[in-house]
Amino acid sequence: MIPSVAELQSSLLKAARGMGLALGVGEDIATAAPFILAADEPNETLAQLLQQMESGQISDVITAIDTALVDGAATLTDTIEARALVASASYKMQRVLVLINGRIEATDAAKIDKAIPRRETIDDGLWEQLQGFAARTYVPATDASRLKGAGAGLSDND
Amino acid sequence: MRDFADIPQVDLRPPSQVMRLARMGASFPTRLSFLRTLLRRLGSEGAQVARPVWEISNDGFGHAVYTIPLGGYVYSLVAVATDLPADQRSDRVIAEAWDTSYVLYDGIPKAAEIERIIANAPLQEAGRFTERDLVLSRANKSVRLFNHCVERLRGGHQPDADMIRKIGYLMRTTAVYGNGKFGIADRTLIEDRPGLSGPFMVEMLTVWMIRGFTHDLAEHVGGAPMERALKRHLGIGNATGLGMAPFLVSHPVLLNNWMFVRETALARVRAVEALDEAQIIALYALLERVADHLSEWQVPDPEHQACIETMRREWLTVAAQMTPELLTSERPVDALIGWSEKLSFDTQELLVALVLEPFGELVDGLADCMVDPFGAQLDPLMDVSDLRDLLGSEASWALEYDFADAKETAQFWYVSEEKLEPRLGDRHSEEGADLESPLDIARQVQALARDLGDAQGRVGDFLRAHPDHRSVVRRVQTLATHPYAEIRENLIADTTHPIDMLRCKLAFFGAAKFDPKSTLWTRIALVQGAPLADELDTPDDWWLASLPA
Repeated sequence: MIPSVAELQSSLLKAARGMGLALGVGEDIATAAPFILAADEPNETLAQLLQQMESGQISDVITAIDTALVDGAATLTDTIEARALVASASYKMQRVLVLINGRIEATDAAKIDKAIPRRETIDDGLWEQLQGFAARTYVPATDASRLKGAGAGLSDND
Repeated sequence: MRDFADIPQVDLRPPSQVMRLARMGASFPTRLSFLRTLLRRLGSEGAQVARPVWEISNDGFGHAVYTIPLGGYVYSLVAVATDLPADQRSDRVIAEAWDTSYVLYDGIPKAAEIERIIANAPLQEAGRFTERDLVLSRANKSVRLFNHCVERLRGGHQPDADMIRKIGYLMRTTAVYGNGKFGIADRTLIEDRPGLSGPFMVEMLTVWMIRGFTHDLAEHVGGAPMERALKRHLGIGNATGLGMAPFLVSHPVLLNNWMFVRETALARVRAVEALDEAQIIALYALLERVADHLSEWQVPDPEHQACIETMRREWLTVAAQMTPELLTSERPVDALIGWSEKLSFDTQELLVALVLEPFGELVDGLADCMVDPFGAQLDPLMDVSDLRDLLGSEASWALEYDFADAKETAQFWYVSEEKLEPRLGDRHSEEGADLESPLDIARQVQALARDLGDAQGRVGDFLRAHPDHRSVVRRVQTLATHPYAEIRENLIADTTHPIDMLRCKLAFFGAAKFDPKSTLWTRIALVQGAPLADELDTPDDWWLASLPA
């Protein structure tokens, strides 16, 4: 599977919600999609990210980034998925965030460029796993919802 | 945003007035609508449309390719027409087959690429696309008008003008997918290209080119050309369901920028001290044009038809108010807009759109400020007391709802597993509310206010203890610099009608002739009266154009 950045982004947001993560945490994870694809090992990064999301530990990464932005530094284990989130936050906040030796530090920046959009092949199994988490937000269809809950008629021969 | 301070303007209409569903649901297209911006650009470049491929059978099935240069690039519309049984013709997302399908292609496709698109485009959501494919779309015939046109042309006659006025298009698009859907190009890939940097430009280009194809197809099957004036009045229809509504909630900065630009344009025009003769003549011509438009605009829905009839009546009052004395007085537009506040929202917003028309030099440049490169930002460095102040100053509207009242939580938005169609449920009688989409912004703001209490420190500290508020904190912070970022309503109340959100967004696209079919979906007409492919050099003056008798 070669997803677009937008497909990865929307899947991550839904997956985060499907896993019960806070909406705002999911938004920050989704924003990091281009940085996940720009990572040296995008498949490994995504796989580890999903694990961290499932365990809920990803929230600690987000919190550490906040702390670094507020206090100038924070403790954060150096992992590939953390690096992607740090790079994303760095771009969004336009501040230099450096993750090294279990520590994240924030300093002012002149201008930080966005990740260049690119596509990578994502292992089918990993992509299916992501879609499975996302599907937890979908409501099963019923005849009533088909007729009552959505727009447009079932036939439009006019 | 650039140059906002350099041009005189009156105070902007406040968000408390503008960001209400009743008014948003009365929106009209303006000269800042995306289709207008696109066609101005195409006209300024002297763009020429070509049709290098036309492989269409006598009965109208096959494929065609159109090309157009824009900003130093060439784009191609690949159109595929298939024979659709009547029992499969549905405007719903859950449809699985269409009369026609389209891809806007980056460059000029070679034969193999055309074959790939012919195989995939008719599959729509079930197909898979590449970064060369910029937009994916489909359209169904307005069977009545398409067949009528073909039969008339075959008989050596022109189509009936009244029928064209009444329906307004040969086909309706039922989805126009951009930004990475089903593998097509991400917006980031093209957002810096000249002519495509504005919101939805590539989608609008597709829609305008599809309209040209529908004309060619009817003429081809009918075996004769249509009169130019009739053809120009054949726009492209669209059926839009409630799936479009959540976009406005999930893109708060973009919504702000669209609204802020439109309101700034109005504030600039209101600040004009005196009108020159050409502007006065233009306003009188537009007054008549609107009257013609309103008489052309007929819908089956009685409630909406009643709104149109109110507008028709009130338009006589507007005409009476626009005396030569008023238009030659000081700040005449400001006086007119101030006076109009006693009229219906529909007429007020129609007048707002009208007064912008003669002032292209003053407002068109604002269209460059309608994009949002960054999205909403969370600032963990903000002091909690400042966040509390923001709640009071910019989000107090959300604190007024009583969510213990079942009516205030009556509806829930959700995504159905059936082709991921967005739907709206009744919370108190249907299953699925536990999976609702987070459009309950007012409720989220209230929950934030409760937990914020008298907390101290930085926002980052507060979020460590309350991570569930991360999203809504970001939204409230955004209001400090983007006051039009939120629809100031409870979007899960029993009184909330998604159609109001749809109309607002569609008006920014440039839609007119709104034809609501329920509170959940509407049909519209796009590019009716707009230049044809060989008329791009004509003046940008087709706002609410009607077909002369």
